[in-house]
Amino acid sequence: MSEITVSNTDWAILSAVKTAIAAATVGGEAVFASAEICTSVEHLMQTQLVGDTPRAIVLFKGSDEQHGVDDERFCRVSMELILASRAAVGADASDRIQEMLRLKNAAVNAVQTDPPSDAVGAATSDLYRPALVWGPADIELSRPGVEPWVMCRLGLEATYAIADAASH
Amino acid sequence: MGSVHNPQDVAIGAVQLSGVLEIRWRQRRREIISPPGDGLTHHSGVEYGAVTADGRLIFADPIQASSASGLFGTLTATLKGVGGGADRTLTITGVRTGESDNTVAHNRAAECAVRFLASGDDGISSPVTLA
Repeated sequence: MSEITVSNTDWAILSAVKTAIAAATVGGEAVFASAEICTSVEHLMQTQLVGDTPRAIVLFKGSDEQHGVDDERFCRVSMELILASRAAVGADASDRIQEMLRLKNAAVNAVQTDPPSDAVGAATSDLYRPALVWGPADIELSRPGVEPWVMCRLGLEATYAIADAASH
Repeated sequence: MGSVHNPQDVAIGAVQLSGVLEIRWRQRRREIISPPGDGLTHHSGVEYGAVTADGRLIFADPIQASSASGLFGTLTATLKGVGGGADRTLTITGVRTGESDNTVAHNRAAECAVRFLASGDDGISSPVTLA
């Protein structure tokens, strides 16, 4: 057997994103009533669309890596921020869209204001990836079984570097 | 198909260089071509001159590139085998590096090139060997 160490930066980044969102305030008031982590949209719809609103859920989607120079590894953690809020259902969705976009932009600002310290991006001759890359915001205003909740699913990828293949 | 990639453990003399993205080297001979005489359509004599060995080290960081400037010694590097190819060792003797040529741009890694010239020990042996 060989003694190894595990830095588990994947988790450190997920945790940092969650903490940044949970700690975000506007005018001294928390933006999100809660921030949690899950691994399944179905699970969150069954168990987490309850209680105070709005809610933020960090959905872990996966991780991958590419080789850097000098045996370095550039690792990427892919996640989705699911922002959920209860909103009145009506013909005009303006208020719901406005609120979900506010939450989406608040979440981005929260993470960008307090980004994961491990996220550094990657840059070599054949690879360029910023530390944080935001995906499109997919707003689900109405979905059977979800109303009166509305959700915004916002992709996020964080990239960090480790010294070699055995430093994960 | 076997090949090599990822230069590692790059050094010039006693100076270890980190962050080397690429090593480009070449050996060139000056072309000596005698002019054709009147009414001739082909050169009657061609020759190659002596070999000049030179190359460039490519970095993504201007600071790492600057650490490779102004060095003299034997360049050594391990070229890692890939696709079933074996690791190779590149050795270039008499390497003298110049200054770095840097490009830092938007949304891509910087490219910083340090040129070098190489000379053989005795004027007969090639400065470049691969093992």
